[in-house]
Amino acid sequence: MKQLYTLILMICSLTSLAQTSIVKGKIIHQDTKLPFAEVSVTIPKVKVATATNGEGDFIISNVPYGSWELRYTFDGVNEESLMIQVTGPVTNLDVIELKSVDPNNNNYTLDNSGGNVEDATSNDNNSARASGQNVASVLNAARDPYLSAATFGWGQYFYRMRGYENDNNLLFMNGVPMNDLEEGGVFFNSWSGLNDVFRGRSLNLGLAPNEFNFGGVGLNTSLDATASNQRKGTRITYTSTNRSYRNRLMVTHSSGLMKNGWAYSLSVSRRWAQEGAIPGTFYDGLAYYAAVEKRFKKQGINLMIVGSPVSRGKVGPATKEAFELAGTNLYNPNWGYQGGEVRNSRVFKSHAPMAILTHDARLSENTILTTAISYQTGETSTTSFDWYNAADPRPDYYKYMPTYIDSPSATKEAIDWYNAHPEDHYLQVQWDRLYEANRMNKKSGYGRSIYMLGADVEASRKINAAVNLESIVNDHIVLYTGLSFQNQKNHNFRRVEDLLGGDYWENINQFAEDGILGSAVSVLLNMDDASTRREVGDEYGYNYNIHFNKANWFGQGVFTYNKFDFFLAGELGYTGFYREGIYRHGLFPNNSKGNSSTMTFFNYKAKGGVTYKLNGRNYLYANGSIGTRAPFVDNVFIAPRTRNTTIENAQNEKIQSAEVGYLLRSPNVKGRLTFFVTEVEGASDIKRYFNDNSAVGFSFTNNVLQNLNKRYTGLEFGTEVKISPSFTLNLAAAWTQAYYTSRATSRLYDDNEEAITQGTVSPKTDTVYIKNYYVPAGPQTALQAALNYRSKRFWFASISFNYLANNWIDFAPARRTIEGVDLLKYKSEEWSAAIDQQRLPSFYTVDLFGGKSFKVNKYIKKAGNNTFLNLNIGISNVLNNKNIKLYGFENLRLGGNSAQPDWFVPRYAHALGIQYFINLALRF
Amino acid sequence: MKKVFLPVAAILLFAILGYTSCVKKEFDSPPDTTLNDPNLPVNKTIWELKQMYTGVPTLIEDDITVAGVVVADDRSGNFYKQIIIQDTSSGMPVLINRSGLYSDFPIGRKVYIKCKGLYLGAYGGMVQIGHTPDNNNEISSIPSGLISKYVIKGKFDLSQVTARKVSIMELNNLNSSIKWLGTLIEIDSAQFVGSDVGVPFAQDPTISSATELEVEDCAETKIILRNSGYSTFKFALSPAGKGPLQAIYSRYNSTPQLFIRDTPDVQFNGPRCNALLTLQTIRFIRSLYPGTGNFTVPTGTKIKGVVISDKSKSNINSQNIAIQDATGGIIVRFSTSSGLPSLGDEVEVNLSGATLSEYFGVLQVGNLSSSKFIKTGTGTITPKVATIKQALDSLQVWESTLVKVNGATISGTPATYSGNKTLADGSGSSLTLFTFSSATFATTNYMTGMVSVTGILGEYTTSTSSTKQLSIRNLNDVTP
Repeated sequence: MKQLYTLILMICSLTSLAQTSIVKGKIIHQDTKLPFAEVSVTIPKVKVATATNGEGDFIISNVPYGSWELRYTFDGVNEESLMIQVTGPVTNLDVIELKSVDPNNNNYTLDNSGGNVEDATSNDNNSARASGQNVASVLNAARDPYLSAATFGWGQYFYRMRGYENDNNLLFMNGVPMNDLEEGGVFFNSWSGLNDVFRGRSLNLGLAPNEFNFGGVGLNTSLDATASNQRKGTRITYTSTNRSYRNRLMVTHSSGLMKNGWAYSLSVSRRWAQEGAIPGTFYDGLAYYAAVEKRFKKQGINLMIVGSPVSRGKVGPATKEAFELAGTNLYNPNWGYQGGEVRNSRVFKSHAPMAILTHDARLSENTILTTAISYQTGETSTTSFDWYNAADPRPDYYKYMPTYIDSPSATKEAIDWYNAHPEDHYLQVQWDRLYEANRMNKKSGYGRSIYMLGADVEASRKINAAVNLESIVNDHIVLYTGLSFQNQKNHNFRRVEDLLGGDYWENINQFAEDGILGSAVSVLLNMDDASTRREVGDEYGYNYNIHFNKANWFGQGVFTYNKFDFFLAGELGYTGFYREGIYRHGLFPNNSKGNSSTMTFFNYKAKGGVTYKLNGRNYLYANGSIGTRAPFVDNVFIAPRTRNTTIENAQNEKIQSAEVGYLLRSPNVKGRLTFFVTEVEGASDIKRYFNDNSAVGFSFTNNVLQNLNKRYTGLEFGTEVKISPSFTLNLAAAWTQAYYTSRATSRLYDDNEEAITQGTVSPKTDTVYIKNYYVPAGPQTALQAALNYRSKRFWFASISFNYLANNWIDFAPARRTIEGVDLLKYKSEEWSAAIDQQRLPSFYTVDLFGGKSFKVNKYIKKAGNNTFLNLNIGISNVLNNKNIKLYGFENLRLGGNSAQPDWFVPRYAHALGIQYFINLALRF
Repeated sequence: MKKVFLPVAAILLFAILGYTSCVKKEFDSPPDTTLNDPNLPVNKTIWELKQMYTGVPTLIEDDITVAGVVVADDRSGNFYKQIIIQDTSSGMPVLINRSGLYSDFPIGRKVYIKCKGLYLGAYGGMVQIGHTPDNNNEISSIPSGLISKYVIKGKFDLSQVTARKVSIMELNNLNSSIKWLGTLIEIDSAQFVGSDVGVPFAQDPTISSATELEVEDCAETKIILRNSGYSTFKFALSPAGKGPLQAIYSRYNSTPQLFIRDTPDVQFNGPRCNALLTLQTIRFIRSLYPGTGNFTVPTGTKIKGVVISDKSKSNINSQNIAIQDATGGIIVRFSTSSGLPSLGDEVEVNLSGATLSEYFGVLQVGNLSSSKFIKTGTGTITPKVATIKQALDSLQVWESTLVKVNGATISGTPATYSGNKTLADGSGSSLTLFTFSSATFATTNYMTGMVSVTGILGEYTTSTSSTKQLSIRNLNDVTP
């Protein structure tokens, strides 16, 4: 009989009638101890949600046995969570105390997507990608003071966590991997502006286990933007600010999970500025999001569509001389007046809508299967000038600068002339002059534009799919395994945007015209052209596709015991890509059109770690990982814009990482101290620029650097100390060293040198003496001290002090070779000036935040009980320090032997002075 | 839910509408500024300005403004970092340190030069205006950053570009034409000299930074056309015809020079000066000779034939060529040994006023300057196959033509070609096979046994003796 009973129980547990519980709890205000009503309570994993009633009570039914994270929030912004254990038919939780306003999670609803600054590469490289931002600060960390400081105080100054490049920070959205396959980073522009609906996220910095992927060594982010995860209600937000955009209006409406199992969510956001804080930059962005979800007893399915069409004018880095001449650190060489109106020559446009279909199923009470598939298609472009046999249209071209003039008296005369005529805007683009040149050219009988605006375009299509299985074996063991598949096709090309008054453009290689005498075939960029004439909207210049396939298997076991937790994880992966050339290039007729060979790489990764719990408050942990990673496309194809040639010996990078840390979680003090070291071996990089010293004179060149070895190591520290019920002190510090640990090899592939391009001669290999040079990784030293005050009357204020230092600029490897220092006396002053790596000055800023929450029906009786108005104000860089250099890079171009050292000087970008935002949000 | 929908929908609508109207994106073309002119007051002519040059770099300290139309820009690369401007008085180069100047100052644009602070200098005697002198005490170009201070844009009007009609003779007189330096001139009717026809306008800059070609009018007055090795038209071949020539008049010390802007300046499409001459057969020219003494060929006479002598093997006087047409052959003697046509060239030779005479029995016409011939193509002459007896019989008619003798033997000592050797065939007669001792093959042993020999038929007759001879051009003329 007992056995029958047990059998029935077992059968019951194996069938869909699994054991569930009713969870009951109560939430009160922490300060007043009064019931806290209208608090949203959810158990995300179980996909159930409810809210506290007038007594502060809540009930959640049908919660399966197990251990779950319970999340609760009263405003949808500030979330708390705790772990609950469900073991019986009724679970009564302890009373939960909730703070009304949490300043740590201050309503920083701005996103820094992209900022306005250019990619930190040579300005001879016209890349279609925006970048610049290492972490989208909208996806900030919840409670870790270091993560919070890294995103709020330091993120806008290009601080990188642990010094890592973006390709070490992985992001998953609704289960699908979002990192781009071409360059490895995450293209946050795809969904920028939708802060309301992307709040559901979990963050994991370092080597600790992730839920459904192996993760990178840096920041691993997992976003849950399913409809049921959105806070029920409507929210209208208006923000006024003075950064890349000036206004934002956002409307979000979510149903929450309704009784019939459906949930939907809609959000629209509009950001705009006629001119941002930096002159010449406009901002025009719209973002939309829609999700619908249906939940059944054991499974659910969610469809999400998101898109963010954006158009903005970019700011360009400039030289020290240009900033001085312009009289402002916010000098932007990209814009000028056209017929009296501001027009920017570098306009960034992007729209890449994405749809993600997610399905989750509870196969048994302990096993969850998640499947997700996404499809994204879109186009990103950045405009830039093209000109033929004409004076450079960029106002800060080195030959236009006063210091280029040989005679000191003439240099002074030029500076005086600039200063005497600010109304002529010599340092800005002279658009009217460009139209005039094209018109006169036309009247002289030549219809071809001398100047025109083209755009580097990348049209991409991405398909991602992932299947994950999570199985709770018993109280101690959870197993994870998953498969993911990514397929991406990028179509890269250049397109005619505006002929500036001319009739057409010619698709020919004017650099070959200069450098090579001989056959007419060589100057064609596409030998299969029926005609070389191009008009607005036509493709020209370069034209190729890159096809990627990537597949990963991942497996992980997490073991939890009283005193110890440990885990083991592994990943096996395959990456394959090839280039498909569309143009048959005149200089490379045999290896430009058609498919290149397929580059395939197999990778493995393994990591493991142990956490020792001294008691409930003190934890020690140590994690380590080893593995390999495939190189990125841009570093494998020597010149993907022109030909299919790949570097010799393309190989995987080896990455090894280890971290050791201490964690403290006590009621009044939370803290973390981590020491980490990561070694990267065998990386490659390709720099592209004009080589004045090639064998055939002047030529565009591709500098292939291989055997790059880097080390990232340092300390992270963060602590939050509750000094009194109202005052909290946050401290965070990062001391990092990211540097090259060996000399690299360098080879120059000059486009105009026929022997090299035909492959009959291999360029010689030089040594690049860069051992112990710093990786340009943003400020490598960062400190923050913040004091927060919370009032019982639902308002808060906070002041924080940030110090950032040791930001080393990106350097030109060609200068650190034997040829590069030719003619310089060893260890002389010129020697040091030429090869020492420059460090940007350190700086500190002071930021202020404050805010208040109003219950609207106190003032307007008609309003619902749930209607709140939040006002948040933030002022960054209160001291208005306008001399903060964000980043710098040396000019890759060295010039010929006769070039003066001050012709090809580094470029910098500066941060804005004092910035503010005022945020008003109405929710009901 | 309902009360939520309306405001939400309204705001969504606003957001979407606002997307299109809030921020300006599309740009209108700016108005056409090419006709704008600041109308600055001009207080000196270009000629008056040039007069201020003292022989060394001269700083202009007064508030002088001149104006001119750009008549040459750097579009083709024949001019580099300068523009040439002219007004009704004269013209001059303005040195500017920027490439692609034609985008701002193309031919046809009026410019004002605010001269105060600029320097007058000279290059090879050509007065020009620029900026601070360098270490070699030569004026530098106006720096890029200062262009807008000194060179003010005026209106763009191609009709203002006028060329002065001149003759080459006037141009060659620098003193009387000095005001025209730096201006656009037009020569009504000019052609490239014969030896400069069909050659690239300029050689590769690694060989020479500029190439000089000569043009002439029908009176044979010549002037140099100088073309830069960096020009876009350097590969174009110089046309053979005659027609108008537009160019900038310049000088290098005492040498007048012309610079074109681009190849359309050279409209050499009509028939050459030579072409007005009457084409005569070589037989006709030979028939003019009375038999003794000299005879002047009438003006307006030319012949056309294929060169059958090989100057490269030196078995002919270095100043002579043998030319043959369908009717006969003749020796043409030039006053120089350089630049003469080669074996196989088809040429026209202007014999106007040349002297017909006999040189040791062989009729020749000369002395002509090397500009009197023009290569019109290539050709081959099939040698007349004959016996030695036939050749001797027809010597007068076949003189200076190609004759081929089969089944002959060469004899004589030493056994080399040099000098007089005997050529005998089955006809019982013999010819002298003559080779200059300076011929390249002179010391080569002659072929023994039965041979076929092709050569130019001639003679060497003194008052006492007469040798009939055949001269081979090169070793290919003797075959087994």
